Amino acid sequence: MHTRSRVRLTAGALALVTGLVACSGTTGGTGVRAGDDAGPPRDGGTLTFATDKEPDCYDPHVSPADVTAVVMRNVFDSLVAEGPGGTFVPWLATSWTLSPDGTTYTFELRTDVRFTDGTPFDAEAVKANLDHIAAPATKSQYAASLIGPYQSTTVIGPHTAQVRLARPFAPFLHAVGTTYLGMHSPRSLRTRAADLCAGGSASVGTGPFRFTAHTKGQQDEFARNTDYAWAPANAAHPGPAHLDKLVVRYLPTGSVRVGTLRSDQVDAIDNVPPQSVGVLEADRRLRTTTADLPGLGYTYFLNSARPPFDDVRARLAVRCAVDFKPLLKAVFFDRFPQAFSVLGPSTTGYDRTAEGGWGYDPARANALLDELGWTGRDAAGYRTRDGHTLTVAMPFVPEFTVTDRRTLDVGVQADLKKVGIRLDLEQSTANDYLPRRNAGDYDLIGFSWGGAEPDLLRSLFDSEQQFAQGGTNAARLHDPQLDAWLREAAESADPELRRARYADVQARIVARGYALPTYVGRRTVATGSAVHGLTFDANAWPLFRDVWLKGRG
Amino acid sequence: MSATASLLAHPRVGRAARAARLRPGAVPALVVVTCAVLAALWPDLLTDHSPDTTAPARALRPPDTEHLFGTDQLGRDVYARVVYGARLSLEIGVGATVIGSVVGTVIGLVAGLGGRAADAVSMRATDVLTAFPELLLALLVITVTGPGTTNVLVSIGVASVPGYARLVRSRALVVRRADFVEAGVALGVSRPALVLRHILPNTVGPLLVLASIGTGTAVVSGAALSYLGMGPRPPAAEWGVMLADGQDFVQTAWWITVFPGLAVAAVVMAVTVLGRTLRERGTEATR
Repeated sequence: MHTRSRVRLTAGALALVTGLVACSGTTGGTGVRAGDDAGPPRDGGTLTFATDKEPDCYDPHVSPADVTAVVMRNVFDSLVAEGPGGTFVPWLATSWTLSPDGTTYTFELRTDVRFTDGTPFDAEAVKANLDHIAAPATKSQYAASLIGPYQSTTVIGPHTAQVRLARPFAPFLHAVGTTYLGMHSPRSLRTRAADLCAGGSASVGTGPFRFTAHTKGQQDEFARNTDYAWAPANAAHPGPAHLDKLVVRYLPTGSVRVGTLRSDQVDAIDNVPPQSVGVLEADRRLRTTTADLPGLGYTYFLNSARPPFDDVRARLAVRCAVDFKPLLKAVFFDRFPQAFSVLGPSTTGYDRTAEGGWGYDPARANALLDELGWTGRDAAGYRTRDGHTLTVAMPFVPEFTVTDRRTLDVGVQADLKKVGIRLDLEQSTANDYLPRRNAGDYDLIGFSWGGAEPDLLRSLFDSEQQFAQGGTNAARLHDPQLDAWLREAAESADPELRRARYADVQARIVARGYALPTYVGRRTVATGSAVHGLTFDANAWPLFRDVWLKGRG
Repeated sequence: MSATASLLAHPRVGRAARAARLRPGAVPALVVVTCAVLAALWPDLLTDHSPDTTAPARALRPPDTEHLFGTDQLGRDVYARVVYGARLSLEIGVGATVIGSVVGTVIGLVAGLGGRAADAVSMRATDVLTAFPELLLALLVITVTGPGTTNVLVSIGVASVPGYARLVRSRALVVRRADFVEAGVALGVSRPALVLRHILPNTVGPLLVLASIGTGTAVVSGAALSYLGMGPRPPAAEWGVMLADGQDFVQTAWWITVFPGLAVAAVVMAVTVLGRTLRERGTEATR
């Protein structure tokens, strides 16, 4: 139990860190296609893809980072693949059944799959991988929490694996479909366990590419797995990847990525900065593809465990004080719409009825603050009560955030000043920030967290998910009503009931002002015109197995 | 003619004029520095706009008559931010130089006058520090102290100590062999009095020259550290912070970065030109 909670603690911390620029999901669920009808796909060529962050660890069983899931998707396959709206299609598993009590999944596996080191893929491999994730020694920062109440895997037959959970857990298949539960070769797990984080030749999967070279701080190289014949049922083609080689370069600065694409130094770039999207769209030699990010959009969490935000009126005053429309238009160039719920529209269980349900109302913000007794004013124009200025602190770590969000923070700061609230944006280092955050020494913090599965609301708002316990309850809530709904939804196998409960949860979070949603994040990938067949999965992770290059080879 | 000639004939004025002639940039430099000091002390004299007030609806306006330097991504007036930014930038530049020169002077005097052991210890210590480029040393200090305006100021100050210490030491070594100092020793003047009345005043000239040039360097270092996010908190207007904020807009809204960049460049060049002018005057004076 102790180990478990410690593991979860790090999970929360790091998922927060890396999940910040978190990404996932698509405007319809699955494949938004960058390529048009450019004729039949042809094989060959090298594609260079530039993204912003480098994986902290290349073992998706350990790393919570979005980029690890994106990059290692090329190497590691999963048992199932997630389609639109929380549906699942066969991948390494041809079929699966759930026991009536909702605790036992039985997976029937493909019989023709081999890892790139020659090891056959079978039920033993599934057991080895799931046990690896759950083992305390793995120090999983995310995957272990994704499989929640995992108990054990039993090998029923060479190609039949039975997974037992301690209690019903509806998000399980979603977890199984992510890269975080991707399948390592059992030989690597046995002989190279210590090297898995370092990537390179230690990362052996069944995926469409092999991890051939790793240059820290610069790039990773992948070569086609010529034996590949087991793409998921929703892929464009089942066989080997079209590309001979995939190179992933790490370029943190948005304008640099844009520049390298425009000067043909790379073929595709990830996370195009919003201010550059228009420029790239206007460039006839390039193509842009955009997917809504499912999961938690960039959200401010108001610490409801201490003044002033322990009072619902103070929280609602903040919500009424920020004029998001012009602010988002300025910061994101009209590329990101305003968010009205903490979940993005492409998340399963998103509550559409919240849209337009609240907005800018400075008169109400002022009235609420007056009601609370913050009626005095200091020299700078901030509200005071009993000689104290109405000051709220938002600590942040520059490496955990991005420029646009910091600009947005400053815009929010200016809007709050207009109603007399002083927001201190306190720059911090990761070492100072994490203990401070875990101790609840802040008034608000902001972050996002990708994922197509609404159960992530449980790790964000359930009273048992406090930071100190390894969760991410950033509003420091103890709301029995939310707890009941979230737990009911997590254990229910009834999609309609889950949907209804998550709608209730989203409505309550906004009505009580626990968290302030800002904008709907989008991932824009830009490619040269030779690039075809780029798709996104349900988490808005770009997929390369169907990508091909026209007129080059 | 006669009035000017007689004025120039006056030894002091003539020297000043020659110095000014030697450095044709001296007059514009003086203007720039005056403007910067004015902006630092009374920014509201130079602009009616507030540096922090956002107006997202008016974001990214190019320079026009209302916003001389345009507006940034939150609709803030770039001119107002450049003007208000002068205070922080100069604070860092001057503050760091004061710290560096005062601490450097003390160490230099100890090394130059304190005997062989003190000299060896303090100079080997400065040798080690000199091995690091100044900015790197400042970064090291700030990694320990954490970000913030004061910490940036202190870190740059600390990083510049070795330069001042070496200069003061070398002057002190020369001056203490001078006849008037030896005479003072012979007359029984106390050691502290010797240092304060005779040795220190004779090292101040070169120190001032180095400090004035050092201020320029410190302004650049301050802007660099702020650019890296080590400096003042948002929404503070500071030139380095503005450069960092605007870097993603270089292609679409050049004015966000160009004007604070020009401000840094102008102030640094002006301070350096004035420093060199001082130095030339200094060399002439000793001739």
